[in-house]
Amino acid sequence: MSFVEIVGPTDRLDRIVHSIQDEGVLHIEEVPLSEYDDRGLLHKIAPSDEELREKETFEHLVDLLDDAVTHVPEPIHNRLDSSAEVDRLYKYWELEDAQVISVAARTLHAKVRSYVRRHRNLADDLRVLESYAEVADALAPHVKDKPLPQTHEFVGIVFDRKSNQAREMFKDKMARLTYGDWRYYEASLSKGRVACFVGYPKRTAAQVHSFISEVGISQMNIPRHLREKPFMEALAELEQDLVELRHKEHKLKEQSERFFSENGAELVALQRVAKDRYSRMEALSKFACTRYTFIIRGWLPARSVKPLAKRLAEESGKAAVLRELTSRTPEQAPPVQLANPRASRPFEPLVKLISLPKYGTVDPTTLVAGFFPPMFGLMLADMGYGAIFAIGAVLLLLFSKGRKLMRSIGIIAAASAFFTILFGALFGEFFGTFAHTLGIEPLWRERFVASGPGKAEAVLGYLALTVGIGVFHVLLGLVLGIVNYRRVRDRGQLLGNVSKIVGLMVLFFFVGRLVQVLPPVFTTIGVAALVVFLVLMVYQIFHQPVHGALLPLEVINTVGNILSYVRIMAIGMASVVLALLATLFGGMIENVVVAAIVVILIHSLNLALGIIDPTIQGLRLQYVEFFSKFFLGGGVPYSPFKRRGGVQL
Amino acid sequence: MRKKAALFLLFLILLLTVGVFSVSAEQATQATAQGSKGDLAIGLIAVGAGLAIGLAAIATGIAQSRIGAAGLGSIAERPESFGTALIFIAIPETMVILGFVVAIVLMFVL
Repeated sequence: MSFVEIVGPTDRLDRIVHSIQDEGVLHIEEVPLSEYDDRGLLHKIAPSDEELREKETFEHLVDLLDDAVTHVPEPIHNRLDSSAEVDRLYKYWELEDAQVISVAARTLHAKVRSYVRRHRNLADDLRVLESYAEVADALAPHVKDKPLPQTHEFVGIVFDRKSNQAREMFKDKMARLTYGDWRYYEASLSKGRVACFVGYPKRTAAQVHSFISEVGISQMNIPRHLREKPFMEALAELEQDLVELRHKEHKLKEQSERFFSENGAELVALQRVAKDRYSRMEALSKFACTRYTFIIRGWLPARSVKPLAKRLAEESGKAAVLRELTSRTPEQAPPVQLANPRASRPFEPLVKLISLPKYGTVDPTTLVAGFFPPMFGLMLADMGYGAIFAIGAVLLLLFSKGRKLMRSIGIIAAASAFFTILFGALFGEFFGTFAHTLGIEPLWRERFVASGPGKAEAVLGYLALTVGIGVFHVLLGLVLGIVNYRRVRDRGQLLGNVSKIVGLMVLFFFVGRLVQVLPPVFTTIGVAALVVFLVLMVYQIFHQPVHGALLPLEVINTVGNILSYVRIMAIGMASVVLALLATLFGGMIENVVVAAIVVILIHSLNLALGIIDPTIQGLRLQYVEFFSKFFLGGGVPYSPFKRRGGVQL
Repeated sequence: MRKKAALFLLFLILLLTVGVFSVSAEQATQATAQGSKGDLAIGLIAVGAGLAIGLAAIATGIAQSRIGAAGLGSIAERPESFGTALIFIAIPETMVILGFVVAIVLMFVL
């Protein structure tokens, strides 16, 4: 990133701002007046009352239009994203006066709100009628046999099926209120509910209503025009009403879709114009000027400096000058734009979940792309599960058109599925030990042997593999930490990471000698490493007493980080044991259908756990064990001042 | 008071476990000397494995219940804290995972 300053005559400011917005590369920073001025000549650009009103208008319009555009149906919205019609309308509206834009935007917004309101009202009415129709349909057979007398009216109540006591109390009270002249029918509904239809003499209606409201029983909202009618007649009318409402809803949907396909482009164009005009006014507040000169400051990619300088010179007749600034205060941190290879770009959200890396430090996206899917695969490691997961990933990718995050998740899932199948083949697992039944042999070795002489070797081999991955991953993190701390000139942390690496070597050599897997020469090397570690520790105690004194503990903590990678083995073993259980249970049940259901259920549970657990634990290994050794977050996202309409005026 | 009672119970369980292990240690040693693990040794390994994963799971559950509740509260206030909350919620799982590994090693290697 280059830090630049643009200086030019104030009479060309408007043209220059448009050009900067067209180029869309400058991340604008506030001009610090104190750095320039000691005579009061430089000041912020003070907008006139009219400009302030215009800014407020556009701020409000952005809210209105954002709201309106969210209601544009998705297929229409996707079509409009890169539509020539939107560009044409943008060009038209960009030249219009704020008031004209405001009237057009408000009119369209009012129409959108009207459609939304009408749709919501219809949906509410439909929901009420449908719930009542469900009750009425359930009760109809009972009521048909014993019709309600003309002197009676009715009320519908829905109880929870378990509330027997409440229902009995309700019945007792109703019998007393109506002197036994009442009707009661009930029928089961969905979701554990019971519909009760209560008929009572019209002369007792006041007491009944008062009782129902007193005890807080929620009665169904029977439409007013149906309340006085006999039940069967009311039911017929209710069904007629439902048909009419559904027809109305269908017509309204057609109307609103027609409206959005006719006016969607206009809405999107107006939204972009409003946003661009507002961001231009917002940007002005960050500039500074004297009576004749303006100053703009900002960041842009180094490759974009020359093209922007050329464009500004052309637009201003060489009156505006862009120059690179070499010095900046620590507060003026460059914004961060991640620049990763295409293959690792889908993994950027995983890094952003923690924070953007600080400018100039190591971006771990590619490393996450390189480590996360294999770790996931090593945990699940099953060809059958991997194949199902791969199908899910492909479906996700197919339905992710226009949804960037969903596409990223799909690609991460596909990569993880690939490694699941690969490790499944290496370990010879297909829905767990079902591979044995099919005669599938592992390409490398089994990671789990239930019984027999090889069971200890299998477990220890898998354990050693995961600890080995931990050693490599944590050491890589420590080395990257040295690179990062050198870049930000943090000598204390840099030496801390060097000391941890040396401390780990000391432990490795001594433990290796203790269990006699290393030759005797490593005792001498270990002692030499110990001396280096002690020297580093003493040096740090003099410079950073607390940090230096805690160094041995930090080395132990790093060993803990390495041991933490055995979770890969633990999750893997849990998955393979659950799969084995499915096969064992299936084999114990004689009925083939029941056995198949049990096997499918256990495998489904295992697959669900096998996707959730490796994801969470895989991410944890990245964030806690790996990132903590080197990652420096807190980067400010690069957000250039640009035109949304994509039109060169 | 409840905390003291819980601690006392835990102490009692540990005491009994250690007692059972000590009393049966001699028998286990005899069986090992004869070249086989013996039923008692197998049983004790199973008890050890159960304790390793069971106690670790209780500890993880207690820790995760508190961290999870606080984490969800934090996410509700600041959705961008999801990543940090996820890390904190996953941290106590180390206990049960290491417990599981110890149990597996006891069962399969010893």
